[in-house]
Amino acid sequence: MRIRYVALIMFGIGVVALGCTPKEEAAPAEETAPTPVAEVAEVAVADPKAEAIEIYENRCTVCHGKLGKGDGEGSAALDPKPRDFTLAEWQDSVTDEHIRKIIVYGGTGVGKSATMPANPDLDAKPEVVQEIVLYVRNLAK
Amino acid sequence: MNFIRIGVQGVSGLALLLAAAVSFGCSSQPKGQLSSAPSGSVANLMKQRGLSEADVSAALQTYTPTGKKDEYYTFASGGHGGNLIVIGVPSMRILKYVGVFTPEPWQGYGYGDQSNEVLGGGKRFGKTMTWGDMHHPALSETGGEYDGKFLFVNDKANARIAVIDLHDFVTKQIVTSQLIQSDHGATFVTPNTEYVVESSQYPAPLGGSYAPIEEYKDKYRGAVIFWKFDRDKGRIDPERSFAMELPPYMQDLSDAGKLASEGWVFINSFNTEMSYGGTLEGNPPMESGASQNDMDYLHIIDLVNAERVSKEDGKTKTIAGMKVIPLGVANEEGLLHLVGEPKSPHGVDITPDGKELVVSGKLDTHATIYSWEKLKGLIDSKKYEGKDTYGVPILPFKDSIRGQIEIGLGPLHTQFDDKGNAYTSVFIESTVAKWSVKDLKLIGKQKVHYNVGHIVAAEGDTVSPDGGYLIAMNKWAIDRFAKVGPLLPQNFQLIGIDNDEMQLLYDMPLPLGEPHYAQMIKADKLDPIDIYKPAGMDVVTDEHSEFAVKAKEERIERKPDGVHVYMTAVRSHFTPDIIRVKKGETVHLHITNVEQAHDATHGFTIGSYNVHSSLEPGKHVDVTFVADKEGTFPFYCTEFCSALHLEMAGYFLVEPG
Repeated sequence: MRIRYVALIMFGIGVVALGCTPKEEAAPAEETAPTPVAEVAEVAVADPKAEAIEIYENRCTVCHGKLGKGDGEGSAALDPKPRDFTLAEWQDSVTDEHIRKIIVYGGTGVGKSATMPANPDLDAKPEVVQEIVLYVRNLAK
Repeated sequence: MNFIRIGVQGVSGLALLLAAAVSFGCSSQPKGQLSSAPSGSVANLMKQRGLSEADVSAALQTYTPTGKKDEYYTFASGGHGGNLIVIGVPSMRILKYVGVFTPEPWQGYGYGDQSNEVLGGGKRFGKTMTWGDMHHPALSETGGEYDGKFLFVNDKANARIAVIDLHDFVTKQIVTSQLIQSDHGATFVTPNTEYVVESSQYPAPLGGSYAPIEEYKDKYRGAVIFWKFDRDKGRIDPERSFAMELPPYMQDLSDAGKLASEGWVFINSFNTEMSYGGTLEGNPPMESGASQNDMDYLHIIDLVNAERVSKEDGKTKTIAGMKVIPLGVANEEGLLHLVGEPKSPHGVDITPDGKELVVSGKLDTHATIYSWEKLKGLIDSKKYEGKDTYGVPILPFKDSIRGQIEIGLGPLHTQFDDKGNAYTSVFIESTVAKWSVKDLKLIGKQKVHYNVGHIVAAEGDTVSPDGGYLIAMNKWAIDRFAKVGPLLPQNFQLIGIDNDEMQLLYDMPLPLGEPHYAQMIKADKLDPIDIYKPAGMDVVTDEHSEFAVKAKEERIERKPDGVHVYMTAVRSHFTPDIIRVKKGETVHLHITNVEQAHDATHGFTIGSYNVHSSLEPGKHVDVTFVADKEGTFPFYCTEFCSALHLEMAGYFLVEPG
């Protein structure tokens, strides 16, 4: 938790610093996403794909929907609405790294809505996050 | 899962070796370090903090790094805090408090319809109790082994028994019978959890009526209730439960027989003098009146035949709704026997093989070891040394025992390890004594701090104790911790018991009531759930609630019985977030946390209305109250659930009626 706050403070410092530079030179929010100040010890996962599917079903479907169309039950009162993963246009516009950051750090991690929550425990499970990224990618296929 | 356990001797030099190695590796320690924080090599750390090798050994055996799990769960009673405490061993980290006999706001326990119904199950004389004196937890057993499924615990003050389901660590049921007015020999379970045993402590007229205290011997009685547990339903079935009337001695701790002695129940007692106090009326105080005799009585109950008799016509009478076998019938049927036990006994503990019973007398320096084979032989041959005032046969003491072992001043409770050793708490000495069951020989003692009551060893009262760890539950802490005023915490002391020389490993202050007994179970025997699935679960019935709310189906409906608010919670909003009612209307909140993410718990409160709920992922709660104050009342999420947690709020508007 402390690391996260330190990261946010550094992120804040970055934003303030950017505020002093010409606008066109400012990097997009995604580039200034919070970066952990300490290495996270990775946790070995026996079956990253299975865990990724379980996590998607338990944590993501409530808002993003089982098929990823952004129409889960919890999406009703959300503004903005959850991302529709089936849209090829969106899929083409984002990198895997963007999706990874949003999974781990939430919407604020890439300058998007904070209603997309962070998943702090996944910081230590990059293999699982990679499988979730693949899962999200496959929802458009 | 196994942690390395090493004794003091085993690590002699280990700390210095470590210190040397670490020191060597960190030789370029920067100058000008802040002196207030210990830093640097292990040797430096030891020096700065004044730690001995034994301290380092203890630390190495208990320190549990972040993310590592404990090897054991300990379930400790919360004493007069009334709630259950779950502790990890060997780290001694508190993992959870479970609301049981006392409202517990974090869990919303006692602040909503479901949990109020559970507490309502323990009503005494029509009144819901809001505190309890929790004493003895008992894990459910299969074949005499803890099975990790359920836990039972008693409230001595109000004679209540609770059932906690370990699949979600939630109290599911509280039962009580006004047959008895207190309990202490509770809870203890039979080896396959067919019955949960509850025996009274302070005799009273059965059923709760009044009788003059001068008629104590005639009108006052003890009783033991055998609560039938329905494992499939996970609940006690009062209809299939029964009780047995007992003489008006003060029945104390009990234990159920196992293996060789399975089917029998053993209950200690004191005050066979039948003293009842009256210091202002010329009588001796209870404490001396009850301590005149050198021997009191161990009760031996034939449960198998008692169950049979309880089902026969005309053999029972119903008191306060409970089917009771009267003393006369118990005597006629040979269901109850007594045997002497020295003096002011407290604990009776069956050895792992079920072949012997260890009884300790508070005012006797010995532990007495009874042979079940001898006791059973005496019962079968009806070899009695007499009968008590109530016609209960008394077995001859000397023919019942294998021997005695001198333990020390004030032996209380006994547990066992995997090497044939027993451990007895010694209250007056403040020690734990280790002794060989086979040889009846004292092996050693460990000083504890202070006034030890119960002790608990790893699975130490089952048919196969684990050894390894023992916790001394000390009543007093005196000088062990930083001062916190006149009311001090209890002191749980973790002791390593694998070597002949026991080793004190850790002091844990426990500032929540006076924990009496605890049980320690291997962690891998439990498999609790992470979330309630599907969303909308009533966690008391363990079924999907008829009032569960789905997202997009939130609404407010006015019905004849009041305003029904069907609400969902999801990060980071409640829907609806504005509730309008008129003063005097009854409000029925139906709230479902529709999330399924592990640890995504929300809370719900309406200020000034004494409403609080805990909404774990998938959980549904109902809260009913009257909007008796007009005004503007914010409601909000009480768990820091997300970055927009503070925004997870709304308004409860009570318009003039």
